[in-house]
Amino acid sequence: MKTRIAIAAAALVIATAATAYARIKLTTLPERETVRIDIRNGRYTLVEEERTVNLQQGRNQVDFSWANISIDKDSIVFRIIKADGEVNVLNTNYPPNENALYWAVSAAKAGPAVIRISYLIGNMAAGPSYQGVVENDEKKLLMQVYMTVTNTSGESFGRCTVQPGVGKTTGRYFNIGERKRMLAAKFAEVPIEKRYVFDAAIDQKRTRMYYRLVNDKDNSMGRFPLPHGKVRLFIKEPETSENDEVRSQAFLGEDWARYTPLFAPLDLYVGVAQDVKAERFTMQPEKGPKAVHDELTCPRFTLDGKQSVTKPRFRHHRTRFRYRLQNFKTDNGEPITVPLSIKEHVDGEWIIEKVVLKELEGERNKLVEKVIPHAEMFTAKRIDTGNIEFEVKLPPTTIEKKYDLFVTILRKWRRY
Amino acid sequence: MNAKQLSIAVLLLVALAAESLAGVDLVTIPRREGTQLTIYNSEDITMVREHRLLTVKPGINRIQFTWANTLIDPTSIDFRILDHADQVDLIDTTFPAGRNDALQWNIRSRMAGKIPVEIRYFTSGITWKADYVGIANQDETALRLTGYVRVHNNSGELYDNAQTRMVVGTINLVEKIADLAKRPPPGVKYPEAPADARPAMRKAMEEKALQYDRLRRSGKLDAGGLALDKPKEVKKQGLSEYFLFTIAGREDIKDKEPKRLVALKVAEVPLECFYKLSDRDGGKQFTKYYRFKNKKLLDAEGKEKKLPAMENLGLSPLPDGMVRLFSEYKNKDLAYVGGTQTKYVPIGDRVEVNVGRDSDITLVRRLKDQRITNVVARQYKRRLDNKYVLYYDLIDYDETFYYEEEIVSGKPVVAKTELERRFDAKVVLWADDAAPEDWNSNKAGAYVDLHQVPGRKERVDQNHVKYFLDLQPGEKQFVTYSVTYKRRKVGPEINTHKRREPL
Repeated sequence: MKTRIAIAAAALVIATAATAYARIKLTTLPERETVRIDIRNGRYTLVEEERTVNLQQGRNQVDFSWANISIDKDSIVFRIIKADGEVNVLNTNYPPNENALYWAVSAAKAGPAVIRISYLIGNMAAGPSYQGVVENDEKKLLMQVYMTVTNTSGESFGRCTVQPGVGKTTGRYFNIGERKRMLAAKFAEVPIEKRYVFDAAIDQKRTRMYYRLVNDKDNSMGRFPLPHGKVRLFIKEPETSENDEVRSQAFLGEDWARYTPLFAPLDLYVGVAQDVKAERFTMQPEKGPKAVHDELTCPRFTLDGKQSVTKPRFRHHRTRFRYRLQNFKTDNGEPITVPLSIKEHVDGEWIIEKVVLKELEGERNKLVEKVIPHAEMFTAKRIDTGNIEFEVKLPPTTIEKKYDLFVTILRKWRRY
Repeated sequence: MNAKQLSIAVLLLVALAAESLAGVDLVTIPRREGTQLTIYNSEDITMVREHRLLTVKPGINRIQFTWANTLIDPTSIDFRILDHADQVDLIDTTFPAGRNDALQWNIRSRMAGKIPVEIRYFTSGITWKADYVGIANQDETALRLTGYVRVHNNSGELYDNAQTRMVVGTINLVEKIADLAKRPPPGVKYPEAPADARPAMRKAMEEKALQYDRLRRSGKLDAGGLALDKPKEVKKQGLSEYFLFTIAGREDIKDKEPKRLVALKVAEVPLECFYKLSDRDGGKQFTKYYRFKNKKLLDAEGKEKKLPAMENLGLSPLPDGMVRLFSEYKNKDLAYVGGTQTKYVPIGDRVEVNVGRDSDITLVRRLKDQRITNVVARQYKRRLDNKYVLYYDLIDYDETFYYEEEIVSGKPVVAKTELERRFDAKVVLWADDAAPEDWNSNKAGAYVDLHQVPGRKERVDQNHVKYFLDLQPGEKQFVTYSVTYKRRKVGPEINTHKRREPL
């Protein structure tokens, strides 16, 4: 591969010639000794390279030019790492209309000097992707973070060390145009919480299944904030699978992992939980249409000092939802209770005024409704002013037995 | 798999030196030991797993994998070392410059010999569907249900001797596999369609349509299925939120040749027949539904029958698919009843199949009377041209409609019906003997009086009310009910002239 970046060093024959643009062109090409590529910044890729140049005593010119590669000219940093005697960089010169510069370097003694040049290049980036292998019981997973580094910079780096953004730094060969997918980090036995979420604002009829991971040390992660990337999840099949030398895996689903700081949870939408059924209906408040609004009064003070009572342009607005809940989920053929989160979106000031849980048995004309205590099955969680989550421990249901959950939300002080 | 298109080559490197990565020779092409296809029905994605035996030597080994002219997603290709994992490591995966149809795996080995590896990738173009054929007996009390799975391969590849598995469930996929497969490598633009591509495409489509027509006329369209000596077993297994259907043994999944296999064959499924009428679909005609439960079949004593998995219900969910229903007469003649698409049915849930309109049960709805009462004109004043004028625009009134529904059953058996009505305001329902607390409220709404209707009444949501009637053979039933719309603060609906007078 043809080297695009060239460096040349030569002693200045004419020390301070007025024709400074007429640079001394390359005579020797010192090989790169080490190259380090750092893509941690996310926006910029830093390349650092070390070379040994032979300096003459007195003034030297170190030439640096490039072609077909996008280098930020102003970002180039030149450092002397090792030299025999004092070496000073006197100035940096930018010849016009050229992708090149040269440094005027003064050396106390003649001999080899190790220099390091650092610069920012374009068209080289790293993108993360994740692969999760979930245990068959869905309690833990193995999370592998991969970084795919794409080198479309136009430069062949040969052997170099790459810091792809997260995880460990590794030695690689990077040729022009290549992409490399590297394992950056591996988190074993990461506990996962399986969540069934029904959010009518997203999907009116279906319940979604999410995995929740927490990016902290207690949950076997927490080494670095997780960058935004695609997560593909696989599940180990039961050990009884046939025709497999090792345990077979099935694809579960994929989702975008958002940027997850340390200690933050990461929710991954895996797929639809078709065995956990929820449906939402908007109902009339319990005491009929007159309960839709609470009419409010407030004192009125007039200029003559009198006080009366008036109705302000505010009222409390009541909404009652009915959730028809069914759970046909089984584990090894046995019906199981599942945790279901129902999300509601509100705003401003509000309270949950009333919760009623009904058990329905039978069908058609033989259907019997029974109000049952909900304290153990139901908890309402205020996420913020805009969001509520109802956590329901939903027992198994059948065709003949199902649950209706009625929740009345009172939104207060609504203008009309 | 077509070896011309998908090939794997092992390139061995003995030395670790960087220079030695270039210019090495091809040593072996390992044979594929086994292939497994896992096909998803909710998305166009198939997971392919291949097992191969690689011969490695100590040092760096480079393995090349190419997949030109296929629909493989390059980002999904995964390489696993199945044995000697402590002696063999995958260093990285490298995609050569300007190509999205080849890669190489760089492997460091501390041993010489054969190692089993798994290559896993996603491809597009292979799908599967379920479909059912139900034959009801003449009394419509039992159903003979046969479930099929049909695999379609439009990937352009032949997958021979592959273990075939199908996943029932809806997975989340954030990018289409077909798009990922066609995406050019970084730095390369999408190929532009030639200017004259459109007429050529049209011609190709026309040709395809003609070909289809010819096939249809010749009756060869459904001849894609494989003739089998005996049906293969389809093993079903739960996995997280999904179910995995595995076809026993190995199959050749040929390109453009659908394969249909029996997944379920159940005799004597107890069947229930009922009739629905709803304002959601016109509210004038009854629709017939078959209902049966996805539960294990019971014998006469109510105990679970001991049946093979293929001949019983309630052991796996029923995937969504087309259902074709027939009715069988005593002389074994069949009559086509209807066909419909069903949704996924969990274990223990009920299947409800829309059989189609039924004209044996008729309904005539008559508006027997209507009256307006309690008209109140609400005045309000407004300044207009330096004068206060009174408006009569805000009107309160109650409008009551009296309905009679005449329902006649021409069925030879008891017909179970469900009638759902919609009212254009928030419903206050009088369903039981006693009127609801809010019955005499002065608030706007639809006050529906159904208390004289026999059977149970149910409020579905703010606007819908449902009632259930069981009709004896040849019975005619009259149902009467009323609805009072309490209109409040109605605008110019009545006072269209906006009559006003000076204060």
